[in-house]
Amino acid sequence: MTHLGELLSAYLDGEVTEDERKLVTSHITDCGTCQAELADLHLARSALRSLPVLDLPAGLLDGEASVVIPLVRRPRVWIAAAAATVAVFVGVATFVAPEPTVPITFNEISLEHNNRSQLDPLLTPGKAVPPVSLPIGGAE
Amino acid sequence: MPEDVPLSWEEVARTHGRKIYNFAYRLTGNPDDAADLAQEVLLRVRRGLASYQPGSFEGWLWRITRNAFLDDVRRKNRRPTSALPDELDRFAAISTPSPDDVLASLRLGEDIQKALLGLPYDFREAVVMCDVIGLSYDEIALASAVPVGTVRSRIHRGRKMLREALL
Amino acid sequence: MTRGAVVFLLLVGMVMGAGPALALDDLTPYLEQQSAAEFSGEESIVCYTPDGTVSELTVVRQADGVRVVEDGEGAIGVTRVYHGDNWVLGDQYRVEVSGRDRFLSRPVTVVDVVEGDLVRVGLFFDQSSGALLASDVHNADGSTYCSSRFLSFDPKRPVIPDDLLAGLTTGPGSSEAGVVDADAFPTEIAGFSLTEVYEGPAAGVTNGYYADGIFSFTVFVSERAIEVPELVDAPVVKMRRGEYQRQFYPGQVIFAWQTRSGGIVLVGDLPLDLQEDVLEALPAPGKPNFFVRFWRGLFG
Ligand SMILES: [Zn+2]
Repeated sequence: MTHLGELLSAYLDGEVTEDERKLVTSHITDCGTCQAELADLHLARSALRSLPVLDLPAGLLDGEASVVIPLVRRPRVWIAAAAATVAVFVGVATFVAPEPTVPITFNEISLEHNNRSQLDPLLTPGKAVPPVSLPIGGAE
Repeated sequence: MPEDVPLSWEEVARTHGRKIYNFAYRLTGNPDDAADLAQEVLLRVRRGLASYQPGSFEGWLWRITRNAFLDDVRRKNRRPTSALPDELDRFAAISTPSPDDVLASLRLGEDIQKALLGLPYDFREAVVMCDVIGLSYDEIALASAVPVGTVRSRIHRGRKMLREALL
Repeated sequence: MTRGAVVFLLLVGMVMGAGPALALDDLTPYLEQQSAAEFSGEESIVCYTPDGTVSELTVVRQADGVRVVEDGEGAIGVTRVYHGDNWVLGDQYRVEVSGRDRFLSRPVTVVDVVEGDLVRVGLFFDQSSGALLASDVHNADGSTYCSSRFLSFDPKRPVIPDDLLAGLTTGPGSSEAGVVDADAFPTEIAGFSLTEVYEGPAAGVTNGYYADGIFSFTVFVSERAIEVPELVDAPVVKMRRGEYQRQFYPGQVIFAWQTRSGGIVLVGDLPLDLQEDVLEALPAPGKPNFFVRFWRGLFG
């Protein structure tokens, strides 16, 4: 049987049809070659996605550079952007008074939840790892 | 998810300036070039906005960005290479790395940037659009003026080359 | 011999082989073995969400009841794994050992958790180590919500550096238990039972943990709007009862919204249809009224 090749990358990106997806999940179960290739692709993909989001150099947008913007429509955790956003986060703006808010971080939410997951058999990486970034060596 | 099409210059500049800068930075590895490019692209987008036909705004925007980038590179006489490395076949058999290797290679942002710069242009562009900017395959196809099948193939091969370079 | 008889014999053989009284329809022994397992490997998890695909490749190490998960961004999750004595499987589920298979060239036992006609979850347990090597979670319409797969697996006991254990909390939950009015939380939400209530993680926030034996979620409630910085750019989705901020992560979803009387954040591993059911059973999105805001404006 032929191996999956570029279908594997498309699979990781969700750019496959339902039939292709089924083909991948069934083939991958017992093909060591494709398992290894998927791991490699996933590594390269994660590496790229781990690159920090850089800020625009000051002044480039004539004073608008400090405005924090969402960079992608598709879900992706832009840690740097999120962290920078904390500073400009505005709660529910009202004309009476700013509504006071209680801040909790994703990390705290995740920790609270995950610490009880002994009642939940599906302990998965996504649950165990809050997407909180430790500094990445000198890229910025 | 429905796509909100920004209509004003301010919105476009704000929303896309940073993306364009990151795109250019990851392709060139040079902050000054990236800043120049972001400014140049924003200028072109501003001019082109009047003639924008509703459709895929992302695709349209990235087509402009890409063309501006290539013009910029040509002007600066740093033509991007697009030739394939000869030894592509060796990517066929890559063994599963050990967990420690994986972590070690993932942590180093500088290494990733260096590896990225070693990729032929078409592949570098495809993986940056996909994994750094977060464009869909359709949007990348529109931006690069190639069929979706080519996008799929470039992303796949780009990632394999990158994986090889990160070993 | 009929196929059923063959399967039966296989199952009997497996039960005998696996040691003491292992009831076929019970998940408990598998979960106990899973939390006792020692191994390392790379695990991929992919989830198909209305906002696109989210995926993650992590390196997992488990030994001495501690699980360390690391990803490319250097994120580290250190959690205790043990099978809780108070684990109860919801009535809606049936456990079926559907056979043996091979995964990563290793013999695995395939256990399906069935709900009506739906295979809600498929679990692939490594026969020798007990580790959960792969899982598939399905939505009510049978489509896949999340798949996890170990891509490499080493059943050797891994070394877990001491400094990683420093971040480990000593018991379940890092917040203080028992100091809050648990009556504020319904004992049951959409088939999930309330098992624990805590105060925290911030002043004025309480949280309740709900589980049905397969999935679980935590609801954080405050009289004020809750602000989660990481969700600032999260998409706002319109659901039956109003608008929510929603962010998918691999294996986990977070909803945040404001109600007439405060703020709620929900986090859990629920498949899509259960997300809707649970949101449906919680207070709907709404704005606090003028006087509430006026009062707070004056007195904080
Ligand atoms: Zn194969």
